[in-house]
Amino acid sequence: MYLIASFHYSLHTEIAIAKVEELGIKKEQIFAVPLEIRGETRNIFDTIHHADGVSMFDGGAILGTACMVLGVIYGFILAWGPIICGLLGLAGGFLVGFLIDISFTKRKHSKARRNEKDGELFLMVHCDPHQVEQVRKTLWDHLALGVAVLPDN
Amino acid sequence: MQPSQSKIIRRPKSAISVYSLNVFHLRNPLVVAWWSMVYPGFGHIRMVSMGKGMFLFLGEILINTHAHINLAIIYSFTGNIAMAKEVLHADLLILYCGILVFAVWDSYRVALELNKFSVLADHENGPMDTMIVGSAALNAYEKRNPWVALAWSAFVPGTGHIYCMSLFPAIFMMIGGGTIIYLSHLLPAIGYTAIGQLSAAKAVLDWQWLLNVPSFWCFAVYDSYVKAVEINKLFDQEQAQYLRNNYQNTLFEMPL
Repeated sequence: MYLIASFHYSLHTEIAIAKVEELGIKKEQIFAVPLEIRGETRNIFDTIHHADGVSMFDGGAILGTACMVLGVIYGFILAWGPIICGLLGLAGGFLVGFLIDISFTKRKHSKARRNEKDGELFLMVHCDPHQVEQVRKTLWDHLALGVAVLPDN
Repeated sequence: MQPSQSKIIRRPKSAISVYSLNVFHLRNPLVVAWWSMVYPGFGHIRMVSMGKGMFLFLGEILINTHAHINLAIIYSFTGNIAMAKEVLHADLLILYCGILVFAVWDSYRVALELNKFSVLADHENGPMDTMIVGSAALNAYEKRNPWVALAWSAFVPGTGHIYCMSLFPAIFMMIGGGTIIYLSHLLPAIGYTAIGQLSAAKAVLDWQWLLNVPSFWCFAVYDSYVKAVEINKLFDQEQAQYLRNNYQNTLFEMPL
């Protein structure tokens, strides 16, 4: 029998494999298919622009900082004072920067973002029929996202 | 640490020590340059060049404090040009321009360099040390929640860096941030603002020092968030590598 399960990259996944091996499944009976990691392409000219995969946050941080400084400055002559004006500047700047980022990168990132919550790697376990229930429980207990059972041929 | 391993890997992806976990990852050079513009030294600290970054930061803060640049900025932006001219000390002012432009230029250059190293490390895909156990500390590749890093940094600059296994940036953020917050009298002003005594809040603040707070605080928050994201990516990359090397045995009987 074959069990096929999807997982996120996490320590739980390694523990799941270890526990399955403890059930008496040999290493050769386990096959892992880690999917390509999103965003880490090898093309330097492409990635340099949305470089570290957090460009959704870059614009907000940049404009947020700038507007916060302005808020603090004008707070000294405005009635509400530098602290409230600074915080308002931060919130406003962050929001605007974030929206600009979204509108610029939406098309590029939409595919990557859609996949983010799906499985990142697949495990196949080949085992005897009497072991299936134990293996299935082990996989589920260690945060498998989904588990399927296939009969031999 | 296995020294024999590091000899074989020509372009390592990361270095793990009891103090920190550092990764070669792609950084947008323009964003790095922007942080240097906000505060000379921050661009370098973004790239964990702690020595260079703290040296530039100290230089900027000494010149800024002596020349009253922040005060002059506040006066200029609020239309009080005469006062701005009066508070500025010309002695060190022009030196500031040099430090600022150098920090921007140099951090941009280093960011391009690190990006190349990152691409080469991904290409080489060498084995990584995932754990280090020392006599006083241990560090390991693990997942970090970027929003938790962000929240902690927002409360106390530097704590997000401790969470993300970056001891040296954390020490810098906590000592530097604490000093700036103390000298600006920010916390009493927040207290006055909270109970609605806005004029008392304005009076207690030190203007010159307060203008350092927004940049410092935003940088601490941003940097710890990005660190958490990159630690997670490194974890994924290493685990994928491990699984490919250990669990793709040719003896595995494929279904069908």
